[in-house]
Parts: sequence; structure tokens; C-alpha cells
Amino acid sequence: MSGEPLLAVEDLVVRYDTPHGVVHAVDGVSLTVRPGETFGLVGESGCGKSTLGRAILRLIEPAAGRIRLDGEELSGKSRAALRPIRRKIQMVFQDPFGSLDPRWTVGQLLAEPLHVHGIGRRAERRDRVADLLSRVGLPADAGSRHPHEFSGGQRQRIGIARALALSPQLVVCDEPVSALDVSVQAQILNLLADLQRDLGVAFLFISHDLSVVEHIADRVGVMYLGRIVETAPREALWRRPLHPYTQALFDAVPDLDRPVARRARVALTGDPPSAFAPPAGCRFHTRCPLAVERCRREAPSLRAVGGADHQVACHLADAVLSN
Amino acid sequence: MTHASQPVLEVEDLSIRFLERGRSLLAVRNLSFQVARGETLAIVGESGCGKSITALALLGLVPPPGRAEGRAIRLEGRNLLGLGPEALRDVRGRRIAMVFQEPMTTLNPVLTIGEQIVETIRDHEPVGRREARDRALALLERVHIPDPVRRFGEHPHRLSGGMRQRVVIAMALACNPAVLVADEPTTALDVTIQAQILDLIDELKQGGMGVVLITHDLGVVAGHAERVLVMYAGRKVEERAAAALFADPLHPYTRGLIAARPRRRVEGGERSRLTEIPGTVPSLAAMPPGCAFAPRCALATTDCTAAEPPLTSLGGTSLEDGRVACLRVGEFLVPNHSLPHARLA
Repeated sequence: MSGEPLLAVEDLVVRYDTPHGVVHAVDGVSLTVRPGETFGLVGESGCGKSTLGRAILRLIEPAAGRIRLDGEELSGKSRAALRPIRRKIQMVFQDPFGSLDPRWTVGQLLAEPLHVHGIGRRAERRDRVADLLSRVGLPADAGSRHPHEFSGGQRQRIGIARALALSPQLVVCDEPVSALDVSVQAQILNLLADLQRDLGVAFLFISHDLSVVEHIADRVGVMYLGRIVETAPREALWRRPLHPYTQALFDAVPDLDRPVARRARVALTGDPPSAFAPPAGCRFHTRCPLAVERCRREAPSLRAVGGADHQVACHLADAVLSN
Repeated sequence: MTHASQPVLEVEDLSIRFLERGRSLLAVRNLSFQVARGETLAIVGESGCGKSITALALLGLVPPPGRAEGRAIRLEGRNLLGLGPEALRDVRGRRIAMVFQEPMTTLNPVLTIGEQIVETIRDHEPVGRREARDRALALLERVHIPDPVRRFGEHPHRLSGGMRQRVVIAMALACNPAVLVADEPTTALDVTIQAQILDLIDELKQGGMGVVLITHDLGVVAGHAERVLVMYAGRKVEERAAAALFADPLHPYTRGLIAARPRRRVEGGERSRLTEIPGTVPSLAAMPPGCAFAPRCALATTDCTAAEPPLTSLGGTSLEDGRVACLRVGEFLVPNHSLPHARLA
């Protein structure tokens, strides 16, 4: 654990009030992202990973907890006070143009963040747009065209260019390749790796796809029903997943190199419980093959098991490790 | 696992035509394949390759003005091409059934689970309410829905995505079809639920049903299909036994698809670059001449753009009975060839 983290999230809580009751979408999550690294956040739908990503940018207001970016507190700041910090943290979405005006040209889309933050004169902004286009591998004339003229992969390149316009230190990528065909997905993953190498930008990479996360992440957090159940450096996690949920998740992934018939399946039965009424104790106990009485009563907290960097929220982690 | 019996489904020379602004476009061209009883044939390819419209054609569901044409879609010996809407409706659901990616496209939100299965059974078979109800409950049990009696009376919105897909499969099985067509059946589901649904389909085909599994996910194919058909731009470019395809893919597109997937890193290994397939899939309205993959293929020569490469049988070589449409495939067939994936980049 060397150096100051770039991003430090502590005990973050996000609640949604819905007609059916209150959902604790994120329920006491802590994590850190170091400068220039990729932290992969994996989990299945409804586990809270996307909500967590948005709450870190304060696109959703957290109910409790602290968010520090590059030594500055984001939580509790007013919108106006937040603006200068906003430059340092940006987001890439699965659908880059869901919320953008389709009449704008790509050039206008890329220049807009510069304009909003009052950066550069018109000519400088034009140069910056040209630089961004070339960085993400788009032709120079792309700036005068509209997003709908581009393929899915090229549109994601535009989304990435827009996120990079303000030279952020951290980009939260929410399922950035999930909508893309595998051949194009490879192009975008390579691009992200190149950008990180050249610009030193850190990524919080949110994905349901374990093979993508294994490829791109340096450290990984696994979420289940609003909580991180395990976090570790990529290699340690894949070498020795300790949480029973992580093990089941890894086992369920279809893998060319390891067809199902040849591995010992830890098949999970049943569905995840409803987020409106999460089970008491360990939230995974209703589907866990190892659960004992204590798991039903007492929620396990994240603790280091088998190395300071490898943390697991499971009462039985020591037994799993020594087994 | 060999099923030497008569194939349950034979598709011969199927093309699917659309009219767009007065132009005739072929979404699928001259596609032939067979499915044996108890076998899963996977049709894989990226968006726009024609795999989903092929699935619809098998059930006579190509939306107008699209049209399926060709020699035959023969189900249990009977040609479905040219059957009238009445006759097709009877075959559909009874002898061939389909499962879609999104279960709510099949389920009616205002009817209970039980009512929908009962209705499906009674649409096709002259059975009384009571018998249909018993059969519906048995079907829910067969697809491993916990507490089937309670679920029988519930509406679809009460169920999770995985449970809904089980109900859709139960409806598809209502009349014991000979063939199940599953179009991306697990794409909308979480990976732990996906594994359960794929296991269920595997279990059902043990009873002799033929399965056509349409998917973009090669990992799903590796675990659950006996044979694989790879489509690109409306055409079959490779068809092989699943194990052979993954051990030794031959078409440059197949090789590219497999190499583009992130793979487990070796212990202590650095992050390697993924192998990209440059460019994008051509649009139907602007098909390149010759091999449709040639503009993205690192091995393409001038011959490749001159004429479309024929589908060549691999029979007679040391390989199994596969087919590949690539002019340069002969060069890959020398014993122990090693054409590194990297050369495709």
C-alpha cells in the first residue's frame, strides 16, 4: 500500500426511495483507486456497481460516506464548489450518446466541456479537438460529422474522447464495451490500455464481464447486493478467490479455455434476493453452499486474509484459505 | 455423443431477401445446415451477420417485406418453405419452438404463468382444462421452477429474469417440440443465472430434442454445443465440430473472433494487447466484391476480392467433416500448421 490514493471512498451509502420501499443500492462501500491504475468493479445486475460509479461523480447524491479525490473532499460540497474538481474526474457510459443532443457535431461535443470550464480560445479548442480525435483513432474530418454517422465502436471512441477533453486524472467507465461486438470490443480495450500508458489516467472500470475485467484491471472489487465482498490485486484474486460468491461467479463464466464439462462447477442455485429486503447477516448466505448459523445472524466485514491487499467479507475465509 | 439418425432439421440453400428503397438485399445467402436429434448446433457471429433472421426463418416468422426463399427448411422430413400461414402456425409451437433473448417478448403481462402455459397447450392439442393444468405444472417442474403450484398463479412481473426465461422454455416445451430454437437465450441474464439456463437446455436435449442456439458468445458455445456454424455478412464461412473449431479454427474471421476475446493471463504475465479485427462489418447495401471478409483480412489476396470463395469440405483430409469458405484454407491444412493469430492483426 504505497503512495496516496487518487480516489478514496469511505463507507459510501446510496439509498433510493421507491413506491415499494427504500433500496440500499450501495450499503457502506469503501475502496481506493491509485494514480494511473485500473480498478475493476464486477458484479451482477442490481449489485449497485453502476450506482456506486455515479455516486462517486455525485451524479447521484450519496446518503452517507466520504469521497476524496486527489486530496480534496467531494462529498458535502455544493455544485458550484464541485465544478473545479469535476475536471479531474469524468465518465464513459455504455451508450455514449443516450443523453446528448443528436444535432451536435462531434467537434461541438468534444469542445463543449472545454467551453463550460472556460478553457482556451476558440483556435486552441479547435486544436484540442483535433488532438483528441487522433488520440482515440478517429479521422480528422470526424469533427464535422454527427454521431449517428458512426458505428458503435467509433461512437464509443467519441465518448472516450469527450471524457478525456479536460485531461482528467480518473475516468469512471461504466460497461464501456458491453454493447459492442467482440471484434470491436478488442479495439476499445486496446485503446483504453494505450491511453492509460500515454496519459497516466486511472480508470474505475465497471463491468459484469469477468474476462474483460481480468484483462484490463490491476485491482478488482467484487460486489454483491450493495456491498464489496472481496477485493484483491487481479492476479491474487484469480489465483485464489476466497469468497464463495467470487468462486461461484468465476465458475459460471463460460470460458473457451475451460469448457464447463471439465471443471468442478460450484453452480449457484436460486436468484439473488430482492434489494428491497436483503437478508440479515451475510447477504449471500441464502445462496451460499458453505453458510453456517453465524452467517445468518452477523454481517461479515471486509478484512485482510492471506495478504494485506486481499480482503474478504466472509466469516469462513480462513477456513477456505487453509482448505 | 453421435446421433447417426436422420437429421431432425435440414436447411437447404436458404436465402432471406429484403427490399429497401426499391433494392433487393440479401440478409442471408445460400445457407445450408442440419441438426440431429439430441444435438445443439450453435450459430455464431456478430451483429448483422444474419443469425437472428435465420432463427426467425426456421419458424416462418421473417417479418414482411422480408422473404425466406430457397430449396427447403425440412422439419422431420416436412418442408416448411411454402406452407401457408395456418399450417405454419400449427407446426410452430408443436414441432418447433423458439426462445427469445427477452422473455417478456413472449410472456403476456396480464395473464398468470399458468394461464399462458395452459393456453399454449390447448392451442395445439385437444385436451381438457384439468389435463392441461396438470401438464403445465409438470412443465414448471421440468424447468426447475421452485414451488410450481404457487408460481402457476402468479403474473410474470413477480418473477426474476431467470425465472421468466424458465417459464418461456416451459411454454416452448409444452407440446414436446422436435426442435428448440434459442436466440441469445441468456444474453439478458446474469452469468450465474446464465449457467443455470444453459444447463437446463443441455438437460432437455438429452431427451432427443434438436437445439439451434444462436449466440454471439463463443464461451457459451464451447460449453454447450456439439457443432458450430460461423456466419459473416449473411453467409456461412465455417462449420465444424465445436471441439475442432476451438482447437483449430480455420477461417481467418473465426480465428479473429477467438483471438479478440480476452483470455486468462498466465501467472505473472503482463497485460497483452488483444488481437483486433480492423474495420467493421460491411452493410448489406454495400457488400464488397468477392469474399465479404477480405477488406478486414490480413491474408487477403487479389483472388479473394475477385470472386466469392466456395464452401469447401474438409472431408478427405485428416480433419473431421467440416466446411470452410476461404481460398487460402489449403495453406492452413498442412499437418501441424501453425499460423499465429498475431498475423491477423
